[in-house]
Amino acid sequence: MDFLKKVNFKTLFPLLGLIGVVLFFQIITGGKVFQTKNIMAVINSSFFILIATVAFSFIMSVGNLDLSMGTVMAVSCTCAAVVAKISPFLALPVAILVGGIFGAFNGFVHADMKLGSLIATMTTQSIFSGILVLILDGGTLSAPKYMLSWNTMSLKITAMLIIVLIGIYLFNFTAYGKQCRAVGSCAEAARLCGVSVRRVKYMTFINMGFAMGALGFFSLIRTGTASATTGSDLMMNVWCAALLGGLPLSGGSAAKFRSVLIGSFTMAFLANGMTLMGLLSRDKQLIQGIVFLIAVAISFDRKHMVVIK
Amino acid sequence: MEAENYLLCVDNMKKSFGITKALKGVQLQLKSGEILGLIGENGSGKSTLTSIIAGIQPADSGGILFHGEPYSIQNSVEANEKGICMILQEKATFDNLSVAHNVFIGNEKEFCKHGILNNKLIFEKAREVLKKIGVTEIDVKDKIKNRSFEDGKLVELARAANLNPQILIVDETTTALSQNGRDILYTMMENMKKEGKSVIFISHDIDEMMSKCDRLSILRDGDYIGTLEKEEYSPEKIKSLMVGRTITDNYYREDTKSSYGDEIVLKAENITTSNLKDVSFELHKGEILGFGGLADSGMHDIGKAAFGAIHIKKGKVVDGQNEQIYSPSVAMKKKIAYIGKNRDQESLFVNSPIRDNVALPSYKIIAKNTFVSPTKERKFVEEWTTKLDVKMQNIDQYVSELSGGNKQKVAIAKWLGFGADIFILDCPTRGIDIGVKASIYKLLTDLKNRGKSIILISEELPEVIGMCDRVVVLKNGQNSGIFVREDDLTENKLINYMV
Repeated sequence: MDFLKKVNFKTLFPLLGLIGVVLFFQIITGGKVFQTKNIMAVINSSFFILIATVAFSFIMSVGNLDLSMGTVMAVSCTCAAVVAKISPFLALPVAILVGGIFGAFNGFVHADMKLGSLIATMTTQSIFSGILVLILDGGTLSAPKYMLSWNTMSLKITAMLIIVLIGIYLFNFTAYGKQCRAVGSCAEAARLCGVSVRRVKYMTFINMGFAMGALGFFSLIRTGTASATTGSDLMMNVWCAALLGGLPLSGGSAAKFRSVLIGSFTMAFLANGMTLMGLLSRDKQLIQGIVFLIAVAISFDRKHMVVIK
Repeated sequence: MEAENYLLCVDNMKKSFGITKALKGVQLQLKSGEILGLIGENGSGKSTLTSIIAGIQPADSGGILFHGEPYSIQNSVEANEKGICMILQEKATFDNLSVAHNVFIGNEKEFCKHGILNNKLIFEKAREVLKKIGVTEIDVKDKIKNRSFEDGKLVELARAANLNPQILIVDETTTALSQNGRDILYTMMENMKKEGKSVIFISHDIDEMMSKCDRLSILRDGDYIGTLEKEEYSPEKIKSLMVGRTITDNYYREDTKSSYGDEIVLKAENITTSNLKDVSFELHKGEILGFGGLADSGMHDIGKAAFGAIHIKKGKVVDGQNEQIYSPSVAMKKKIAYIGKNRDQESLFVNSPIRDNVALPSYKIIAKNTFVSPTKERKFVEEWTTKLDVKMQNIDQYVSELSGGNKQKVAIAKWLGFGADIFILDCPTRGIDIGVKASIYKLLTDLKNRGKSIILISEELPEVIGMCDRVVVLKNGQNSGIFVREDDLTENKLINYMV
């Protein structure tokens, strides 16, 4: 059985996790999981996580993290709401542009000011929320009512497909995707192979910003408002999805794109299953925390560490 | 004399790092009340041997007798307790602590009462210890980072003196010291000798070794060669024992005349980096230009500077068209390739497949409108790994699973595939077995014959002499001599310019 020998259990673990979660809820809810209506609900709830994780996977393959994603999404959403008053058709391009600019600022703080990505995005997250509060002036902003009618399943599925396909292409079939993993594997060796480490880092954060901008727009047409709490639960979900899917915190060539899909749907089925079971949102928080702990504990590579800092 | 009459006796000690055999069954005998010199070329195993004695790393096999009894320790703290202390070549002080705290690092308990450190007492005692070894001008309250490297070494000496060891190991410290500092060290060594204690002294300076040491043990390529008594000393004899390896089969270039084109393809103009001072050189088409020197001569900066990979403070590196090379990507546009000394950190992604390693610099060649076709990528990688005969299962195998020689072949395949015209190779045969070594030398000759230019930086003199058209010898970051390939170019000739 050569095939079995080749399969590394650790790489299979995320997929088994997804199957386990689905089967668990399928049994416990008496088969409600696979009803068409529920599958639609799962796709709906995976929408934000999936798109964000696609972009986040590039940041993670470089070996970086992003704490500011939810705030970038909220700022983009707010800016979209502002311009929607002038013309609703400006909302999406403006949201994406704003996201890109904030992403570039993350890139600047990390790559040019040379701060670790965790500290860099922690500070920018704080700055961005400050800007958000200034624009909102303590309240919320609403989009024109009819924009809510844009929020259709077909648009969302199309957007998901397009972004996932772009993600797969960039990740596996372009120099950019491969360079991301090269930087994550060993930045010095990548530099000595002519890879512009700075440019790669910028690109990952700008692309993250673009994705957050798009999500800001979708958040606006879904809820009709932009507020300070927009996107506040996104980061935890995305980190969970990335780690449950098996993206390594250390980055490098162990990062695989399938982790994005597996992780995002695991999170979506998990959230959906808990709703089906009738759990309240405060219980979900607790369970999600535990899931996050398990995800990190599984994926964190402690073999090569002497001391945990 | 029987083993028990020696203070320290090392027998058949072996130590390997991966496939590199640093020690191949070395012996060493140290008497009480003597200064024993340990001498050998770079990579001969001096530091490995002494750091094992000092408990810094474990040996693979072999025994040590100390006071005639088996000596086994887990770490350097235990070694200190047993009375063995080592002054390292590298810096071993803590920047943000004061001189006094550095002297007593690890021994703060003596100055503690109810868990509170008596700083006044520590400063007082530190002054005493420093004065005892003859250092008076260092303020004990100063932070180490405000003191020079030499002062740091003197503080380490004071630390050792305070521990009052039976055996003091001094590894290559004198190059960092001024005459005054050296006198302090020599006095300390002499005093220990008078008290019946022993010193193991390592230095590249043969004159210094001859004047200070009672006996000299010689290591070469991880082998123990022999020990000379004082009356047997002569510089020629020591040098020939140090380098006098017999080359069984000649796998270097066969011609003995220098040959290269007139066209200059790369030029360094008075470059100064943190390790180099005002170095200039020219590389010609079809030339193999060698750089030799001691490990700390700055020669490793040459390769990085020529590839635009480190900051050049003064001067510049230009290509044949007089265009400046200031970053690796610019260097690559000029078709320059670089393979660093630290293979696993600089030239390879060990935790990635061979495929990714070989293709990385060449995506521009492989890709069509940003699309990197997996089939085309596979063919590219297979073509070049086959040309270099890399021993592997397939191109998706991880580089970490390959031997040192095959790893290096992957690194070379990467740049051959890229189509480089100038190869900068820093210690390309480091830790590589003879077979692969020979094939690398053959490849270098082929490249030269095809009009490619090569910069070969190496700590192994025979390699530089055997392969290069011209050899630049570096000493203390400066050019100390240029030699043209000829029949009677010998290691001894170059060594005089190195030390």
